[in-house]
Amino acid sequence: MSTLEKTADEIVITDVLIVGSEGAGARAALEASKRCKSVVVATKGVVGKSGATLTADADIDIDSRSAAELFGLPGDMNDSPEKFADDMCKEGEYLNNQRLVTIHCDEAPMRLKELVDWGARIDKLTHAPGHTYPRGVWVPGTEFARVLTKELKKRDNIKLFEHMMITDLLTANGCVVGAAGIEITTGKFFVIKAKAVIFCTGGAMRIYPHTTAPDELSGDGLAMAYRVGAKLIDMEFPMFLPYTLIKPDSLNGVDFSYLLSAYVQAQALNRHGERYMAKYDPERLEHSTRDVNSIAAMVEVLDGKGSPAGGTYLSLKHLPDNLIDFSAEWFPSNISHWRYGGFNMQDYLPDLHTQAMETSPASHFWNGGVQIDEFCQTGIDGFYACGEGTGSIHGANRVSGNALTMTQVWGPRAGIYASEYANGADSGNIDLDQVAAIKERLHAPLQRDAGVDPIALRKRIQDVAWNYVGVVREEKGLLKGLEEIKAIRSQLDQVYVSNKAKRFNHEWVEALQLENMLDVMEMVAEASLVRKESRGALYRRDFPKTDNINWVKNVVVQQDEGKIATSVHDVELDKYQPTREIREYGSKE
Amino acid sequence: MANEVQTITVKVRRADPDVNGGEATYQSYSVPLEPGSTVLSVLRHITENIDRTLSYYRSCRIGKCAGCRMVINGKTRLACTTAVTGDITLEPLPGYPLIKDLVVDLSAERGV
Repeated sequence: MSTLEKTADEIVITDVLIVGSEGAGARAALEASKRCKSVVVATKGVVGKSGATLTADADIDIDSRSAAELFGLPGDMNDSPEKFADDMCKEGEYLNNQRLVTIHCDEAPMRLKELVDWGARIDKLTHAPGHTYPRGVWVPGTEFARVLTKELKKRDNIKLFEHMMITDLLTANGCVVGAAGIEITTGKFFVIKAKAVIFCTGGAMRIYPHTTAPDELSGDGLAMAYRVGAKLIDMEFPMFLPYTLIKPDSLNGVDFSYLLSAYVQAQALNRHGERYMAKYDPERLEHSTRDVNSIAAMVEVLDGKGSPAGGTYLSLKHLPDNLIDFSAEWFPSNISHWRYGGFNMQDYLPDLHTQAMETSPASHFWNGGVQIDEFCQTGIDGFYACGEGTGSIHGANRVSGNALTMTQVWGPRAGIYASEYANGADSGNIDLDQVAAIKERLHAPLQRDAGVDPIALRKRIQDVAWNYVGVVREEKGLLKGLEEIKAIRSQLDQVYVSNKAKRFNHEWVEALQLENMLDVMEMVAEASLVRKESRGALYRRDFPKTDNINWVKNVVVQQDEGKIATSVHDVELDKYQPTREIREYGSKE
Repeated sequence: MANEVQTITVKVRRADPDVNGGEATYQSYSVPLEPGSTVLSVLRHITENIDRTLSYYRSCRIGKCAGCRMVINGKTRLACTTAVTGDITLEPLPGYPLIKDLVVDLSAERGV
């Protein structure tokens, strides 16, 4: 028996390993299964019952003309993939990689067509802000989950591993040769040997205490990529959605209130009853952009004008009672009759005729991530990435509806190119010392009898992220945040899990997520510190202008000899060019 | 006392196939009833503050993924969107292989 067999509880061998099973991961797997003998999909949750895709509420963008030609929707024939790309670059404030944006817009219609051919039901076409033409084809996130799960099941050479938390990439001679992790249902330590690994692991919205995202999105993929030396780009641009519920606690991050504010004139109030949006966007007020609304709310809170729960109030009280009652009837189907998701909102909201909701911005999307090229390569042989948590496509901000497009265009590309690589590669040698060290690190919190509580530490990480690396950032706060990160990091080797059971031990999972959350927060803080301006989803209170003369640049973060290093790179501008000027934040061209 | 917090009893069916041959027992927890409590927020309170060994699965928290389906007071419901107003009894979804406590193997649903 070799040492690997003694060290690992289970060894799996495959051509391609895909980490993440939803929008991007499922599409990568479907393409890989056509080209490779064996494909393994590992997900921390349950296939079709986890991840951000199914929570999408939900339009998928393609150019309006293709929407008309391919699906008979009332699209505008004046639109084109080029015009879609132009809007992406405008919204991304020209930090997008324009080669990737061109591919994105060109391939989107064909990928949606495939999804529809597999049985996805599409509905109307919507025209969301940021788009010159109506481009949002309405497909609920749950429909993606249903169709993709069905397709995955049909392929005999795809093996699904659920409740599998991949914790580390395995490397040999500078190449990725597999991954290791814990099967949560059994507590077994797995080693998966793969000729190529694709990360479809999503964003890190859970580093913040308020988020619209599912619980499991703790940035594991971003942190693992960082720790093997991959480059991460645009990490200073986590996106926030305003007016999500902060009360009751059980509905923290639910965006019903945000959706509602799009249809009736709600008033955002601080603790003095002041309609504070008048200071930030006197014309559009609460109908300003998501970013400006989020930033305004957070400035009010930071200036001591927030609500008891640390948000601001969103009120309908100024509206007549019968208007409020009638609105429930004509609201769009996803929020009509005070129903949202599976909630009867009247069980959870105060009486809106007399009281306001307490709301807060919540972390909603991850614009930046692992830097990829047009073949989803990361710069490390054998390591590919796609979907949310990869950078270069959205730039500094994403247009509405483009998160789902990203999964459907880039998932297949990653599947294709990783398979081609795998078919020409030899199985790498697993470094036994590396595997042994990983196993020891993962099990250390279970073996300690006393120490730091992982749940308390997770809450501390989230508080630091919110207070210093959150919606509003400035140098002083970012430096304080980095100090806190250092202090928290010094406690990681004392984290102890009180539950010693190996089977479905969520306290252990929480402990294993801590370093990932911390690594991601450090990347956001360092990248934000470098960028001395405000742009897209990043607002620097101390540098409130958008500087298109000096800052049409990407910040790249990379680990160098165990330390975090940042570098600044000019964007290769091609067809789409910004006006070279310094302007007020939020006043787009 | 006007400010006294109402507490409820949460009875949970527990079983670990690794322990006592997987024999099931019911365990009761006393949990403060916060305004707007859901079954999921109650479970979160238990695992964060009372008993770290209790296992349940959840993802989206908004009634879309249906991963937190379980039997609540005898009826199959989603933990995340079911409001709690009094004592509750929680049991795992029947008809699926049990993983532990309230977690079942949902892959059976895909017919794999």
